[in-house]
Amino acid sequence: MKKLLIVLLAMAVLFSATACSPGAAPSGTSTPSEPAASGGEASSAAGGDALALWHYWNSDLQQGLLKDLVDGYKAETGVKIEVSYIPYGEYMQKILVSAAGNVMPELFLYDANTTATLVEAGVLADITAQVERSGIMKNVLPYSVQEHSVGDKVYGFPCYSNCVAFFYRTDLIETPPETWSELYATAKEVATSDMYGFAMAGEGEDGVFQFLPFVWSAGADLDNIAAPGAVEALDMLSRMISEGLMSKDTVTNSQEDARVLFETGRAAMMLNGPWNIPPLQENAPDMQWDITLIPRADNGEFTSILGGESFGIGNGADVEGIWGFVEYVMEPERYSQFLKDIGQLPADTELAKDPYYQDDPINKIFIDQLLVARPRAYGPQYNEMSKAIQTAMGLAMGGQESAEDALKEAAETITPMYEAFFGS
Amino acid sequence: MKNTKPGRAAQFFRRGKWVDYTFLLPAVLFIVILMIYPMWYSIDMGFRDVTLKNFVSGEQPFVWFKNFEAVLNDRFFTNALNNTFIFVIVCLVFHFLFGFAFALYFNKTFKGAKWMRALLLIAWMNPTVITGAIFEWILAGDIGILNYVLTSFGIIPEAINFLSNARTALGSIIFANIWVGIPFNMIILLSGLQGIPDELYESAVIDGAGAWRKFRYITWPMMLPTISVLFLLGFIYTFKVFDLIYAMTKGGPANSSQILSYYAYEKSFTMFRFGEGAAASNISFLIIIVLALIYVRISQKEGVAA
Repeated sequence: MKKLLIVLLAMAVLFSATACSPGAAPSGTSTPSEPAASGGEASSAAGGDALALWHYWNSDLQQGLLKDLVDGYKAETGVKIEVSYIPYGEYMQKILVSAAGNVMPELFLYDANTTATLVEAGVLADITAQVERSGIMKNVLPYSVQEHSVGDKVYGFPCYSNCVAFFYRTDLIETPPETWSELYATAKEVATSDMYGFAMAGEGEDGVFQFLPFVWSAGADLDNIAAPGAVEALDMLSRMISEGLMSKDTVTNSQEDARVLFETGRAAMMLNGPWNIPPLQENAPDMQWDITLIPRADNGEFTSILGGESFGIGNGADVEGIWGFVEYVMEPERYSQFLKDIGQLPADTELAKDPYYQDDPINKIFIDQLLVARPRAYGPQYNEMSKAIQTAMGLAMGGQESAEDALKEAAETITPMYEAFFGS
Repeated sequence: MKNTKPGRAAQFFRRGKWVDYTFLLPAVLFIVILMIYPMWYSIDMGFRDVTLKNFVSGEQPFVWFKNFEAVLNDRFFTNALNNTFIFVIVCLVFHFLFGFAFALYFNKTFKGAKWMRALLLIAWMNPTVITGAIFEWILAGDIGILNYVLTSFGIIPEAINFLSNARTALGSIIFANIWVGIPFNMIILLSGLQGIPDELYESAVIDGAGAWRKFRYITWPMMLPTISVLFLLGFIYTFKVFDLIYAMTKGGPANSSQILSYYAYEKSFTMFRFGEGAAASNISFLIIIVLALIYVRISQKEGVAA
């Protein structure tokens, strides 16, 4: 009994301690010389006046290029920038936790489609003024600018962009399909008992990432995901699965799994992005394939979806201090070379006119596809919207519900959130 | 003979109880800081409105039971709860059956017994994320080896997409989790079996008891304390399973393999509804505590020997 009393007393003391404080960390500016917040591998803006750059790039190539930029800048201006690698799986958590501890990095890599989320959390700094002044976004794809903005304020800028395009086997298919009807017909024609007609991702965010272009092409959007166009898209894909033209494992396939099916000859067509080309070329060097624009709805337009990575500046960090480095990196010649070295596509339409991209048949398609690639810019609750779509895809593709019923259920969740962000 | 009357300093330090408590201090500090404080913070968060807006800075107002209401009214929560109970009960039953069978088998010493036992333990020692990834590949529809074997031998007409089909997804993670937990059950039950004195069996044989009677009247009653501890531990461990689901299905497809731990994780870390995620975790915590209390009551009542 006595022991119980002591334990309860201790808990009461703790409770009153937390209840007295106003809640989470007080808002305010951080000083760059504060030590790292939570114990862990990465350190934020470390001692002295070094600026902090956080990223999650894990290849030697990417890390090497980053180091070259940082070293080059130091040689020119003497400003020291400390680069920290944080594994992708823990990245978002680390950012949020550090923000709660009031220690933000000056510059950090992030997924552009999480812009609204990070702004809501007060993590990204408003850089509208700096961007205007330096003009680094003046030639960037309009949809990309939209992705990095909330309202008319800009909170990030693209490092590079990519999108999804349509791959097909040239030895099996003479003319690639342009519309959905042609896609279905071609898949039916070319599928065998060992090979699916078409492969795409259906799992998690990868699945939504690849499904949204279909929705948009039919003229539908998340304001009503149960609109006839979207229903038609999901219905077509579900039919292709039930008829064996697409794998029944589509629902658990990532974009990488779709590529594996394509490169092992188990699928004749696939949706994928440029990052899967090097592995494809390495694993199936003799395969004959080509890419083209994603088939559009029968009476719709060609669309794709924006991916890529971006840079943001920590709210409360030294914006002006790091902006010198930003301008250094974005200097057209240097930036253009960086993109070529890292093997990614520019979000900047002027840089995209470089013959390096225009003359290469594969890059050209991606550049063209980028012009019609739309962003996932639906506000801070996008993850919940995505989850609702994932559930609908799982139900329809698994044959448990009709596409219409599944999407109607999803719309019940998504439409209110859409209207909350955009104001109906 | 020296008169050893202790000096003032020595007398102070000989005040028994204070010294004892000082030795306890590091352990208590450890538990309070690393266990009680986070637990309290989580319980507290369940009663506050904590979302992206105020997580980093700003007021986190007390909202009493609003989060709990939101969670309990969420049909996905009910779905996760049902799945969790099915998951736990089926796993416990099969863990016990297979664990006991193996334990009985290994109770006798035969050549290679030690090696075989060690090999079986690998299933339990393997990091669960890796186990999950391996099972994902085994059970895959297009590239999975299980389907390949079954269809090659004509046992099933065409591949079953275990993880992509909402009907089989839950069964698949149950299957994987059973495989993981059998060795643990086996070891505990084996040590229980080996604690039963041989004389009991010998006298039973003299009285003419066959295998079944020996089991029913000696093995089973003597094992009851071990078995009840095992069920309690098993319930708690299985209830908490997270990495296996994360590695295999992430609760999909369409929430068919969603369980409570993953539901709470999604609420907090994918949807950033920290208050509701904490509320879901608190409900989970409550269920476990209630069960533990029931177990304590029952074992006190029956006067089960330790």
